[in-house]
Amino acid sequence: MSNSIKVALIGNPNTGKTSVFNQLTGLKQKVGNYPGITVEKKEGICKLSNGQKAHIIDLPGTYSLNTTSLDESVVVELLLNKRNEDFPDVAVVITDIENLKRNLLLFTQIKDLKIPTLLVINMADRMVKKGITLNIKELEQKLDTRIALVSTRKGTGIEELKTSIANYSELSTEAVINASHIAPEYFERLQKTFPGEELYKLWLVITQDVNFMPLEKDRLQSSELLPTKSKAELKRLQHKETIYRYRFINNVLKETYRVDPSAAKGLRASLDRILTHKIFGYLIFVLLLLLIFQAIFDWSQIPMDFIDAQFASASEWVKNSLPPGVFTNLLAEGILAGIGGIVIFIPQIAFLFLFISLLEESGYMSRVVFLMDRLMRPFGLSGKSVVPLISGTACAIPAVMATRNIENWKERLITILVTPFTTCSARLPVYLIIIALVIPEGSVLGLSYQALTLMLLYLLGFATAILAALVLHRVLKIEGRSFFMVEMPSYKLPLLRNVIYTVVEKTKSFVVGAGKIILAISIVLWFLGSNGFSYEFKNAEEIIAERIKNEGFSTYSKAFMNDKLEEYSSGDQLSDDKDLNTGVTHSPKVSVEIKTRQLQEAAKGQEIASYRLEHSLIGNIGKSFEPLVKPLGYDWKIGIAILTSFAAREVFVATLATIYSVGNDEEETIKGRMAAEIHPDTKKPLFNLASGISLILFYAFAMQCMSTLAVVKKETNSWRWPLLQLGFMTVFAYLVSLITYQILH
Amino acid sequence: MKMDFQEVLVYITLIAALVFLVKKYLWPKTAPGRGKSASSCGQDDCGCH
Repeated sequence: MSNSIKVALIGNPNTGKTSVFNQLTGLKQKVGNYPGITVEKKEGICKLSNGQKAHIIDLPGTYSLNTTSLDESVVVELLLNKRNEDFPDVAVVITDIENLKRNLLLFTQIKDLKIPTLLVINMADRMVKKGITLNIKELEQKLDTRIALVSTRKGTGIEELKTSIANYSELSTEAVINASHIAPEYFERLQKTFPGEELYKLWLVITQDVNFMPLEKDRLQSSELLPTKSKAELKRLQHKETIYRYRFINNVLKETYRVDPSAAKGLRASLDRILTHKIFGYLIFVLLLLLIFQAIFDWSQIPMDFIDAQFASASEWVKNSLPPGVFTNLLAEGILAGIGGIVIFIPQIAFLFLFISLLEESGYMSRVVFLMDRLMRPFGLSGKSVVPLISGTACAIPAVMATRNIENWKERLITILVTPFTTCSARLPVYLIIIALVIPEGSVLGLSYQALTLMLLYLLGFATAILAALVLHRVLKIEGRSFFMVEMPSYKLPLLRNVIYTVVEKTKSFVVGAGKIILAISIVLWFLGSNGFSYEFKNAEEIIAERIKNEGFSTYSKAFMNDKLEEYSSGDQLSDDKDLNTGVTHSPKVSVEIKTRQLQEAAKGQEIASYRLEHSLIGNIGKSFEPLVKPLGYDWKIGIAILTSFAAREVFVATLATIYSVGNDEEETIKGRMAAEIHPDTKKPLFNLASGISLILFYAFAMQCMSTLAVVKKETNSWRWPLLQLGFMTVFAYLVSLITYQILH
Repeated sequence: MKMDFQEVLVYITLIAALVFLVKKYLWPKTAPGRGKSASSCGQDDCGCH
């Protein structure tokens, strides 16, 4: 890497830095029409036009070099420390054609650090539509730099940018503004005290709350030659500097940048008025949510049933085609059943990410952030907490990391602690299967009860997060709030390429990420369910045969046989029933007798499998803590599923699918198996309204995700907060589920 | 105790699954991202100290 040019991509949030990064490097980092996507630096290699290589670093968005939060300080740390291995040979400042004035503030600051700086004006494709004309030559002259006019949407201007990067050594390193005008005497003293250092760099170090090696703020402030200034005085000078810079920028743009208002369309303003309206804004948002959840249920039902049936057939095929033995059983009952438990949710997950991606790409998500900011202020959270809470609907892990742009530590901590309450995509499989089992299929005003339930669960997650924030706000007593500025990007027609990419990548990471864990857990579960040391496990066949002989079949088996026999007698099969050896058609009486014998064999097999499972290793483990989950309406199998899904919530359905399929020869879907499950005490369906709602609420509130705990530990740098979070959320979830079940049953 | 071929395969698969889970949850790789350093702090009360 030593021969490559080091390039830092810097710019305000939502100017398309990551899109430029992707086009330069050919990588596919997540992008969005939504500020705050990048919170850590990302790196990639770009091959330049002259064959040279460039090492590109995509930095988090920042409005200026006057940092206020952790993600912004990443930029300043890099630019102020020449000893940093990533210190750039050239800084590429990305700006948005529509917000050039605001974006140039950062450019002038970086230029004053005397680093070779290139200016990229992005979103050039919008110039005609917005009536913008630009005199690039004059702008280059006034800003003393080279400019690349780029459109990452159309893919134009990237080659020119690569050429400019390759020729970076021709760029001027002169400051564009003399910042010492704001306090000439002070700056003169500053330079005299540290004659070897860049003046603007000294000023930045003295005004930041961060220490930058090798220049330390303490050393600067303890200098006897330098008159000390209070924090308030320094802030006042910073404001003076900002005004001074904007005055310069205004003068530059007055002569080089024109907007023809008659050409610009007022659609954005009209749409904003409606979409951010204090009543209609929320109504539209709720309607959009309803549409999304309705679509998730309606559109994905057919592919979901298809995948479910395919896995059931595949399992049957493996059993019939491979040589009989324990490994064949592991493949059919453990691995295929477990993986099937996550793969069936691909359609729903894909639809969820399709809608999220459309909302982000179109620019609507920023309006949602604005709406939520208004809603959350009374609860003690600033708008800066909204971005993590909204991104938490996909996954809590990046959401917790997104809190880095909150400068107030307590406010950041509260956001970290409450974010896991928002409904992440991992909860979706649990919700969908339980809703499908316990909520009736009817509809009201064209909206199905099931879709409404799902929407209520999303709203419940969000409401719990802000209520918990209110409580924590009172306990932790936040002094001062974060300053919140939301970027309102232009509305854009979502790019099909970006939407498809997001849907495919997110769905893939959901399935592959959870799939590996599910595969491993399914193997362990199948092993524990297929082995046991007890007398009952080893002699299950004799014990059950004896029991059937003495007491007859269980109530469930009797009902099962009656149903199947009724189905058989009333169907066409009866008249077609022929002896396979002779080809003679049986009389109806004989046919029914043969079918009865077959059903009795099947019922006996099921009873043996069930008895063996109950006395297997997993049965012993499950039974040992069944008393804990029984008051919530669950049996030991659900208890096991809760335990394994502590690794990740998606594991819940796969665990049940594996447990129910151990020793089961029937070709049946996951949903069918869950619907047929009988509560050992009540002898009624295990998944009923009371136990189903209790289970859904448990997953709504419990902290069932080890990866999130690890990220919280990393972000808070202590085990104290994740453990408190785990303890509180688990106890709260348990109590809510207990009360719900006791009331409903 | 004599084990057939399928049993051997089951035990190999089981061990692989257990090793994967232990590595994932008990000895996870250091998560990518920022290392802890005094210069990473944004504010005096940022909780990094």
